Amino acid sequence: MEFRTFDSEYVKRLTAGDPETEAHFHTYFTQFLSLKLRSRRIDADAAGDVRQETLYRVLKVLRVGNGVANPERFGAFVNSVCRNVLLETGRKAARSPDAGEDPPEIPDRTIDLERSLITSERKRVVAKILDELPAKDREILRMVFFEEADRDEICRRLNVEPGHLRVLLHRAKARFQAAGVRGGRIVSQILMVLCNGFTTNVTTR
Amino acid sequence: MSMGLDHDAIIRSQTPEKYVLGELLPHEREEFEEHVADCTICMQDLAAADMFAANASAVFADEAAALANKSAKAAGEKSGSWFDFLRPRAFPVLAFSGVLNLALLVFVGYGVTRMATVPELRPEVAEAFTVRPPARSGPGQVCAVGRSRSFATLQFDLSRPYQRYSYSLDGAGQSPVNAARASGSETLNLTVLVSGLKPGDHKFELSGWDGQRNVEIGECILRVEPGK
Repeated sequence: MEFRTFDSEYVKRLTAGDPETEAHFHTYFTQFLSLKLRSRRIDADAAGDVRQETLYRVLKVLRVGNGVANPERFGAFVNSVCRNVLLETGRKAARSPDAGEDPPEIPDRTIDLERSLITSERKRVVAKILDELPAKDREILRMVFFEEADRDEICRRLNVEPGHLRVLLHRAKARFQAAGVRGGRIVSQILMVLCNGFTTNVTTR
Repeated sequence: MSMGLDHDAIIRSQTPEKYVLGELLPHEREEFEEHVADCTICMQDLAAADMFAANASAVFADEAAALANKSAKAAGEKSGSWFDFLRPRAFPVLAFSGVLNLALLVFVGYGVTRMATVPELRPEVAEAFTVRPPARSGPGQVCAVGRSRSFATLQFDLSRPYQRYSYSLDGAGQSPVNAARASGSETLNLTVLVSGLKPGDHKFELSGWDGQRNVEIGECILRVEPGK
């Protein structure tokens, strides 16, 4: 993903429907929102709905609403919209846990982002990185990511400092980045194709 | 945590790793997300950590599955009893069945081919008819054949050779005809299995493919008579 700062020009282009900016918007914020929602352990289906509703509301504010007051903090604006959607979703679920209100009318273009994160090429690179680690470090990562064991328990059993986990992940991530695994681009391309339809839908609603 | 908007400090303090490992307190997580939403550098770093974690989890899951398979296989081999040879096994049964079916197919195919290509048909099993071309035959040339007959031989005059031929018979579906039989000849003899047909009229149509389209060569009604 290319480096890009958000500014009034970006927001202006997105409001006008510039395809390149739209593609960046969808790619960047789909990834961001997926990370955010995954960190809250929200299941894939619900996360897909929240993502779509958030992106839809942001575009609606830009195109038929008042726009954003501070374009330099556009990302923070998207984040706050997502927070509102999450709160509303939580409230709805609390009000009627069995039969919620009708879902948004956006067609289901949910991408299984969890699955798109995992590819055979990336797995091959990650397996190589893991194989090159000392056996103990490999076991630590296995317990963290596969067994999802309690961190204190891991540290106690394997006699390591809590910070060691982070260091391990940090080094492994650096090697993973250095391997330059393709895929972000593939995800971007998929998103670009999908976002064309999505955007059309948003503008005609 | 004081992150401000300095992504160098964020990366130095390994905040993306803390985020992926779930080590941030709720307000730290909110603050970090607020920053990441506007910082593509931190976003890239966070995405890489997340991607590594997801793929590492998948690699370990694959390993666990492979290990479980191996263990199950080993356990299956060890737990074999003296009576195991009596237990039906899918592979040898299917393989044996496959060989039998293949042999049957070859045998039947050979028989049908031989019947179809023998010019002098055995009178006790077949009845022969000359089918007139469509222009002369009119709609209803009837070829009556007794149900006791196994085959009917239909002879067609060919005005020209075709690349391939096929026929359709009500109640028996459509079948291709081996074109080699007609090559170099002005007639095409077709032997049709009638023993499986119900008594009554069955429309028979023969067509030839000239490379561009199917051309109708002849048709008749094959009447299977119950008492004949």
